[in-house]
Amino acid sequence: MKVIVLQLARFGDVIQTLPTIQGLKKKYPKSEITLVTRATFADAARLSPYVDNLVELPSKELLEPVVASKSSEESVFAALGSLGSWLANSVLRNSPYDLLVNLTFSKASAILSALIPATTRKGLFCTTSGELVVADAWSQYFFAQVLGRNLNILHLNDLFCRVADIETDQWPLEINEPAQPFEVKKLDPGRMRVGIQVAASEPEKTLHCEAWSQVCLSVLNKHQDSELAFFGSEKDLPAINTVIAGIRDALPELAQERIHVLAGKMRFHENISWIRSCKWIVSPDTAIVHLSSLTGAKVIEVVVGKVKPEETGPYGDGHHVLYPVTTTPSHLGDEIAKLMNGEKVGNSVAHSTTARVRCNNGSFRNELVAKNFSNNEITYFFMKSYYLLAEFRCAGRQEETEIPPLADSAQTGALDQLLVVYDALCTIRRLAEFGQHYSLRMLEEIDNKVSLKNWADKLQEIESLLVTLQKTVPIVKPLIDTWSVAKDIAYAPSLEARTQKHGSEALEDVIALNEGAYRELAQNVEIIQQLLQTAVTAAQERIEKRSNHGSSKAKYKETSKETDG
Amino acid sequence: MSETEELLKTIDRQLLLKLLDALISEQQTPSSQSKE
Repeated sequence: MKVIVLQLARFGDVIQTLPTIQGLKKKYPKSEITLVTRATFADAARLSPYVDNLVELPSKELLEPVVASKSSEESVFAALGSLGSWLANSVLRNSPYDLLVNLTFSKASAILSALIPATTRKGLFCTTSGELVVADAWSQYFFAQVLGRNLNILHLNDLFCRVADIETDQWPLEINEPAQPFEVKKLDPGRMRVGIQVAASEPEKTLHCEAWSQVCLSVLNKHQDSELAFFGSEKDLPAINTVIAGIRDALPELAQERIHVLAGKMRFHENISWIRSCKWIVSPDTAIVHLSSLTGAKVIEVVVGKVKPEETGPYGDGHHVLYPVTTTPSHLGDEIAKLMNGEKVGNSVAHSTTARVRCNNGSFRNELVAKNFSNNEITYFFMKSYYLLAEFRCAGRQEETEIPPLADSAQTGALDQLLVVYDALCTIRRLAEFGQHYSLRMLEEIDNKVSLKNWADKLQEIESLLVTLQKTVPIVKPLIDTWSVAKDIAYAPSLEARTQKHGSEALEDVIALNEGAYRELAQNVEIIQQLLQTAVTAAQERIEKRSNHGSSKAKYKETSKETDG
Repeated sequence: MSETEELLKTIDRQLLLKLLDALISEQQTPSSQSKE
């Protein structure tokens, strides 16, 4: 069996593809697995012993002359030739493949997928005319929820496995031992090494250098036995040097051997040996977090900016996630130092831990568990409900994950807000039912141009109303985005053929696709409404109990007063 | 005719051109897909 996996994104995404590769090999032990990555990020793939052929797309080499010459005809022609030769020699020579799994959700990956002959295709691809198609249900979920930046509880490791329809029960993963060009310095007895990753993919996703200096100072001061190892690439060196200068300003007598600068000294995957020598890795949302998770090294992720640790945070049991929203850098550093001592994190920094839980259906899910704060119960309720809906929709299985209870006494007003959402859900369901009805009428009157125009106008109105609704009640956006994907880019068996068809036959296919999308939307809303009704009924009982308890307490107080008197 | 030439003949040129275009635009911002 020949399997090809496409992952054209960055280091972190390549690492998050490795559980899928291992799972595919376990499911199909005799398979030959090819993994395609960009050459720049291929080192991450070298860690998996289960990649039989690593194919590197030399995108930088291919494209730089085109970009430099502002797409001159000559450079485009040369790049086209090189791209064709690369495709033929590296990918097509081994084709056709039995299974193609595209775990990149970009246009380029969709086109590449379409250019590779394969019997079964998962993930994004496109038709010969360039129309994007997402065939399988989990990829539709990815497209609608992850790319739509919606509420999503699934970590990418778990989501990629679901797209490929495999389970990886082993964690940490099996990995190749890379060469050690920069030998790991042996730890003196009683010493603790802490890995620090300062830089992130974007400056707004990490602390500023001064803040990192403060965090490092807290760790060094609180743990006199500690030493710091700074990870990163060569281009991170200026930031790292600024952080170290800040540390040395405050601690001029700090021993040289308590600071190691590793940035730029190793290739990405070679960091793994140093990571293993660290007791803790402190990092924002970066590929070092994923690399550390692979080895089982304990991570303290500092969440800065628009990142979603549920999706791309540390994976496995016992990692920590800190949200330093209002705290000062030195206070954050103190809390990190306390965590390293096994102490509780103070309430000024929100703290979650990770756990890899086995679902009752046999699959796995990385879960973030709030330690010193309460999740916003409405957001958390919908996050879990949408996940249950996805398991049911995509895998046809009912999960037994507990629906989080509503009506926490500290979150007043939540039930009132839910009423607004419930109203929105009722409206969506009605609109979906109308959409389904109008689509069916269109199919019945396919030969009547006037009627068709009339029903099409009405459908247009419904679409506008749905778009408005998701703006006014954003928590329902995942449902609307799912419908939008189902309507516009979901696979219909006739979609490839549709481009060849003309007249009413092609139109019928489009209308049938629309009708199916509206039907599914109505069903999805109904499922969420049922979950909501159950949760609200339980919440009302809880409130009633609380108020009875409150009134009996008051009665007791009154009686006591009377007795005392 | 070599094997490579045979394989090259099977490639849809229009799609290949579309792939080149898409790669160029994605090369400018090779962002992680979860943040696209």
